Amino acid sequence: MNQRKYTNSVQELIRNLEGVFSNQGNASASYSKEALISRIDDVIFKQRGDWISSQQTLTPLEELELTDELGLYLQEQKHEYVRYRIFEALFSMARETALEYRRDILSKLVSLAIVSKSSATLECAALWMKSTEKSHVVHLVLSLVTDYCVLQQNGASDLKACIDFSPRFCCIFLIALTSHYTMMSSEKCKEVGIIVDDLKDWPCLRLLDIVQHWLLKDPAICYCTATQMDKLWRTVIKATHSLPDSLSLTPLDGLASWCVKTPFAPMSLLAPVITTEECAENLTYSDLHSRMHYGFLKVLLASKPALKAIAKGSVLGNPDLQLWSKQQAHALVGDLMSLCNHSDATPLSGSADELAVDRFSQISQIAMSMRVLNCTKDQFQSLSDPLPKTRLLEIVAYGPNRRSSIDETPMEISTNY
Amino acid sequence: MPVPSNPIVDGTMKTKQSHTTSKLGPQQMVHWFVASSYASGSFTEERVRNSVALLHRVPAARNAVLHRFTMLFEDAVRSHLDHIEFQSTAPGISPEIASSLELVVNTLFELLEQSGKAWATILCNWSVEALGQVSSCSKQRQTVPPPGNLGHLLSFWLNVVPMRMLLDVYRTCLKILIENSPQSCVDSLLKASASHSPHFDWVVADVGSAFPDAIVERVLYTGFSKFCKLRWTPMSLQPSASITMNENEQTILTSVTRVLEHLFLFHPSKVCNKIVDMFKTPPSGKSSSHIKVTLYLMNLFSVSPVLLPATTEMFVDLIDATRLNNLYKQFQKLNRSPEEIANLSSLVVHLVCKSSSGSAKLISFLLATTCSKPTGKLQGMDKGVCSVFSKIVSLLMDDLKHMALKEKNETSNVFTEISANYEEYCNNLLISCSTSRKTWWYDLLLVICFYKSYANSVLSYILTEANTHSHLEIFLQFYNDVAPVTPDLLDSVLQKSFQSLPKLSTDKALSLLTNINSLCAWDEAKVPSEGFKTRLIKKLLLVIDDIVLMVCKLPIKKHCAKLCVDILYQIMSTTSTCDLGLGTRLLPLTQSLVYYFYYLLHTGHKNNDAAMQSCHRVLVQLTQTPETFSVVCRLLLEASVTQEDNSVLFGKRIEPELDENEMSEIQAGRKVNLLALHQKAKAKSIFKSSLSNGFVPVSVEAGRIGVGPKKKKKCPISQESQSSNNECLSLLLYRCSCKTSGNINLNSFTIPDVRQTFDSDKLLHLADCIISTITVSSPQLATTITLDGDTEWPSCNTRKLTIERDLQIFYFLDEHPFVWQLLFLIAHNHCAFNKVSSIIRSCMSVLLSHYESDRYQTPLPETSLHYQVATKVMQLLGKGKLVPEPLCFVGQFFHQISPFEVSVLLTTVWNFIKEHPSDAEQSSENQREFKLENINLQPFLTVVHHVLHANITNLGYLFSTYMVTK
Repeated sequence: MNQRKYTNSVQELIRNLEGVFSNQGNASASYSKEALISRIDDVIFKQRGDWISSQQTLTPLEELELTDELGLYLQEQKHEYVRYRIFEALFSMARETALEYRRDILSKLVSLAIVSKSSATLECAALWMKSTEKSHVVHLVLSLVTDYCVLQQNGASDLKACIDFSPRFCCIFLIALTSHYTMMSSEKCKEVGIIVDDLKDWPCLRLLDIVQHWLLKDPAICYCTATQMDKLWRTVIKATHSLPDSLSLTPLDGLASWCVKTPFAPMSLLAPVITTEECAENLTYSDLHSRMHYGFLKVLLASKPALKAIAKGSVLGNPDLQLWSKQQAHALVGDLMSLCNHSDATPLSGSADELAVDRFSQISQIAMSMRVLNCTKDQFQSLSDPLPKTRLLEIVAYGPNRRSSIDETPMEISTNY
Repeated sequence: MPVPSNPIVDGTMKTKQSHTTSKLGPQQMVHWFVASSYASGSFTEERVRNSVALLHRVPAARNAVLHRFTMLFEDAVRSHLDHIEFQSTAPGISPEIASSLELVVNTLFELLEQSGKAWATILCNWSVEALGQVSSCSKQRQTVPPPGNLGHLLSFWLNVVPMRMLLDVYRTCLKILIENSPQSCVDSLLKASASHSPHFDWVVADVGSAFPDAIVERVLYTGFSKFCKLRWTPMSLQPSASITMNENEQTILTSVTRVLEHLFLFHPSKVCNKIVDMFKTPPSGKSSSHIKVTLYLMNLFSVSPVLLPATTEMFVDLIDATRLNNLYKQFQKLNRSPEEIANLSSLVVHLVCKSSSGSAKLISFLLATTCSKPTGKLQGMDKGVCSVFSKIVSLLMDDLKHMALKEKNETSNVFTEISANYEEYCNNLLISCSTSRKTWWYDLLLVICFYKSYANSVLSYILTEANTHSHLEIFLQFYNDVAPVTPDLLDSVLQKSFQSLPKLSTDKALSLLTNINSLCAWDEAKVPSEGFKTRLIKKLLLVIDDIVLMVCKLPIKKHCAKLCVDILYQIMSTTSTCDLGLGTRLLPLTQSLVYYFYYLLHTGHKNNDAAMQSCHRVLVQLTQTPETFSVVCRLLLEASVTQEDNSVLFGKRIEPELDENEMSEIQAGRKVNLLALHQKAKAKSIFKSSLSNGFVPVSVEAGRIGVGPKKKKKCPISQESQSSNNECLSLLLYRCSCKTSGNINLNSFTIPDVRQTFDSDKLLHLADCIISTITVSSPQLATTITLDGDTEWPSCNTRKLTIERDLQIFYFLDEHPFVWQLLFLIAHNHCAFNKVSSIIRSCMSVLLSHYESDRYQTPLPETSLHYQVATKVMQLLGKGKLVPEPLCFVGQFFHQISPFEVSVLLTTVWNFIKEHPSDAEQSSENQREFKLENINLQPFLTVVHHVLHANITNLGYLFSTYMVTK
């Protein structure tokens, strides 16, 4: 049978690889390893090296079989190291051959792993994402987003469930998401005349729903890359540390800027509503963002273990690692200023500007107090100086006693988170 | 339709099915799906239902499931086609499959309804690929119409339900995409079209007619963006998303053109307009987009033989100096290497070669761009553009030449198009002042000449239009270039020219003939033409009949005739009579020349006119041999007498001389009263001379009694022109009769009147001709000559019997004075003269009667006709050796003696001739020698002496002349 033949050859090759990786001490292993890897494209992906005759010969059905087979194998492989090495051998983006096709298969594999709750695959994928160039990671993430948030009606629940069996995957997923969706394009860009896809830089409703779900369910999720740094991860990340364009360690910076920039969401995003499983009522974009903001504040409050781990030097051996650096905060202020409609004047109450600045103030205050953001009072004052002044920002920057230029208006503390 | 109506779906079964699948986890569903895909047997509803569930549940399995659906559709189509082909044995689409299809399509539409934007792209790609695949799979089937017949194919597939369903899905997706994200909606269409054409073309056609504007635009722009990416993005930066690995420029262009060509069939104007719009307003505001669009479109056209001709003219109209300058600047900004420019040029050249309708316009445009001082819409064009175009044009010319030489027998549109405009190019070539542009026009014409049979048209046109020496040089150069590749070129050029000659305006015809003439007289020393002249004349021989015909068409083209005559001279002067084919051609040739000659006389030409000169020249040339001379002579002379128009020229009297009264009477139609006339005449004569009294006779014309008195007639031509005409004709014959050694100087009017100058054979012929001319001039004269044709002189007394005929001859000579000249000419040969002696005899007979009957004592005045004739006759008799010296000199003193004495002398001469006839058998070469004949002149001279005696006071000094020394 054709079916058996293909899966058999795949299995055989993987078994050989397994053999090579598990007995690394063997002298003859290195030779056969190279040879095996070079056979991967040929046998598994059926892609020839030369790309003149390149013909995709895997049928969609075979693709499905392959992803299924790989998922099963990774799940059954108990040895974590061997598992990752095999995963890497198959999907390393450092190897140029059949790169795009392998990336597509990887997307399918991860997609299948999510729906079949295969934590082993997701863990491998998380490490792969951390140690691979950002563009490839974004590609993977976007294809997952398409699968679960765009095409599937109730695919969001599958993604939400990932937090239960692979928090590290969720964490890396968040990092990739926040680094891709910069929330920078808005009405302003249009005024300047730059034509951009309006929604390209903004996450969709469902995605936001998933993010807020994760943050609220387990605030520690953002630090699991730091706190759960095991030997394998350390080795792999250290090896690929020099990569020019890789993901950061935690999503804090990205999430902070998401929270701050949300009030400037384009009109087209604000109108639609969704219903989620936990909450029967319709949620709008801003509702979800408020939740996310709340979740993020909780994340900041839960930063203790991570800071400890960093201080211990267990994270990449660097005790000075910053979770949210001053530079990042500075860049955020810069973005905020470009987004604000009137950067100098005092923003109108209830406007997007005010909300954004207020959120920035809240985040900064907690971050500073939790020592996530290492910043002195003076430094923060100069940092926030160019921003439009709100009452909250004045309080955060100068303390409640300073008489500000702003009128005595009772500070409105957001009641909904 | 083999598709059964909607099967009743069992509600319980449905719930059971969904139960089985929902219970399974995603992984099990995948396993189940894989296993069922490999399992034998066709699609069951359960399997399809599970596939649908999988599609909903596991995103990673999406492709596999859709692929499975494709197979389902393929299966359904196959059974449908089977059913059509083998009606009885194949059952068609089973109810199960039908319901499965319905399920699938419903699911897909549901998905599109729920989140259309997201699914549309995927399903669009899938459905179009499925359509392509199924179409390709079925191409071998007998029932499927061949791809050539698009309309048939389209209607066939639209009647196949599964295909219809697929197409519906595709259309829905496309509609959503066009509304939402039009950028990428046709990518898949292009790809499928590339891999499944031509069996897929019906889909393109259908979709194209459903959304013509969107599809055309998108296909164009998608192709453009891919093209840009491939061409102007460095390899390392190439975005991989939109371009698959096996796509290159060529495949993109071909797929775009294939789709556009299909759409062009149904919406030609839309396609063309979109293309032109794209050129007018290039996508995205980048600076270099204009040139990119241009290059893209050019590449597109290079692979499409349909779109190029349709849009050529639109583009030519659109392009002006600003656009060109702009494009040039952008092109330079693209920082292209010289090879790129070379490539571009060759692309342009290729396009021009391929274009058909409008290519002439295009080429004219290109040539206009190379002009150093462009006008019109090209005003203000950059110098750089100009130089680029110069390069392009020179390349183009080379290419066209190659093509023209290579595709001699094929019908290529570009050639038919430009060939139609060759006249314009010729004009440009001749008019243009710039050397380089001249070269290009020249090259272009060369191309036309190389191609098929236009060489003769072009050359003959140039020949017609040329009006300076340099133009003729161009013609020669052109001829030298074209002749090696065109057999019998000159031949056909001449034929063409002469065929067109009657249709040309007078000016053109004139210039054509002038040019041919000057080519004939081409000075090869100045401009070497490699024996062209000789060849030309040789070839002109072939059209000589046309030329001869032209000579006859006098009333229309009188100026042409002279040129034709000149050309004829050129031909004849350099060709042997044998080559001329005079055997058959002599008669028509002579006829037309004679006709022309008389025409000249009629129009008042004189001897020293150029036209007359050339006419003389050619006739002299023609009469090189005695045989031709005889023909020419006969025709010339006969024409002079037989046609009244002509004979009038020489003084024939035809118009009655009327005084005013008679005129008015005749005009009033009144009968003339003879008695009244008589009385009138009588009164006149009484008034005039008192000598005559009584009855005055009134001469009445025979057979016209009652009409009136015999009228004196006069010649309508003035005396002056009469003499000029006579002189002209006789001079011509003199020239013709000359011995044919060397050229005759036409400018000298004097021909030495000595015997050696003339060809004796010709004179014999001339004599014959004169006789026959007189014969044909009137029936009476005919009898005179023929009945009395013997040269014997009868007894002097018998002449009274023939007096009437003699009188007619006498008057004939009076009315045709040139005959006298000819007689003098003939007199050089006494044999010939012998033949015409009967004319002289008649004259003498008349003279004798006249002088005998005159009873006056005073001599007749020198002006009198009879005196003049008498002197001439005497001179002739002497010159013609009928009468020896000194007897022949008696004419010298006729004016000093009485008429009777004259008659006595004439009788003496007559008797001498009668007694000493000329020896007819004597050779014409030798002169008659009287001395050898041993003649006794004394009795005849005695008479002369008597006469001299009688008038000794006046004629004494002559006495010694008539003494015979013994």
